[in-house]
Amino acid sequence: LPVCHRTISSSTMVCSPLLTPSLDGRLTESLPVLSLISRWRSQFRTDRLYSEINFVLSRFCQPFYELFGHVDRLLSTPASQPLPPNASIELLAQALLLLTELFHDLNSQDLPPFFEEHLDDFMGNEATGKEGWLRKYLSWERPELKGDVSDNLEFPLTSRTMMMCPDR
Amino acid sequence: VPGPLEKIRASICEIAELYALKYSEEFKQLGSFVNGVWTMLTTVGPSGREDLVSLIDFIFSQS
Repeated sequence: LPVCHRTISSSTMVCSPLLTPSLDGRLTESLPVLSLISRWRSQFRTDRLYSEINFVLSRFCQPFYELFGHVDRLLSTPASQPLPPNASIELLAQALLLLTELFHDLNSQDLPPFFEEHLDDFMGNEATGKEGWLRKYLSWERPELKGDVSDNLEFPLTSRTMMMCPDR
Repeated sequence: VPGPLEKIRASICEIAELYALKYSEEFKQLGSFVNGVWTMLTTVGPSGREDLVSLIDFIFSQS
């Protein structure tokens, strides 16, 4: 994945390829782009914001898509087959959560053409039988990844959702 | 305490909510996602259930 940051002295963006789609724990530690992208959800529409988004999207979409597919393939590894060295289901689940959060950020202001073109890959398509990654993992079951259900499980909706539904 | 599985589901629910709200024309898969959330109702505890019902209610109100 490329890593993008704004230089201190100017408003230009700099991106450098840093991560290849390998999953050995570096993923969650070394993504400065996260702090940049996660601000998009709450920012107002401005030309500057949109040029920033377009800049990042132009470099980020394809590697993001490939990494999503890579994580999905690893998570779909049959129990009888070993995962690659340094990978674990817990680490992969953490990567998947990061990817879904990033998906939300990347789609928060507008529907980027890249995601519209690949909508079936993420959301599924009943006509073609494509499952869709997000739809698949909505109903995914891995008992070892569940929280403590004995403790009156809270479904962790964020305060943002609650703000959108203030009367609930 | 929610585990990784619940966090992933919540994150995907928020994406479905975003798409239902902003991109409903393109989001033909909404029904499939609502079905998935509906099925989840049978597997979560009482407090989680209330949130999910609110979410389904919200998504339907947008579609």
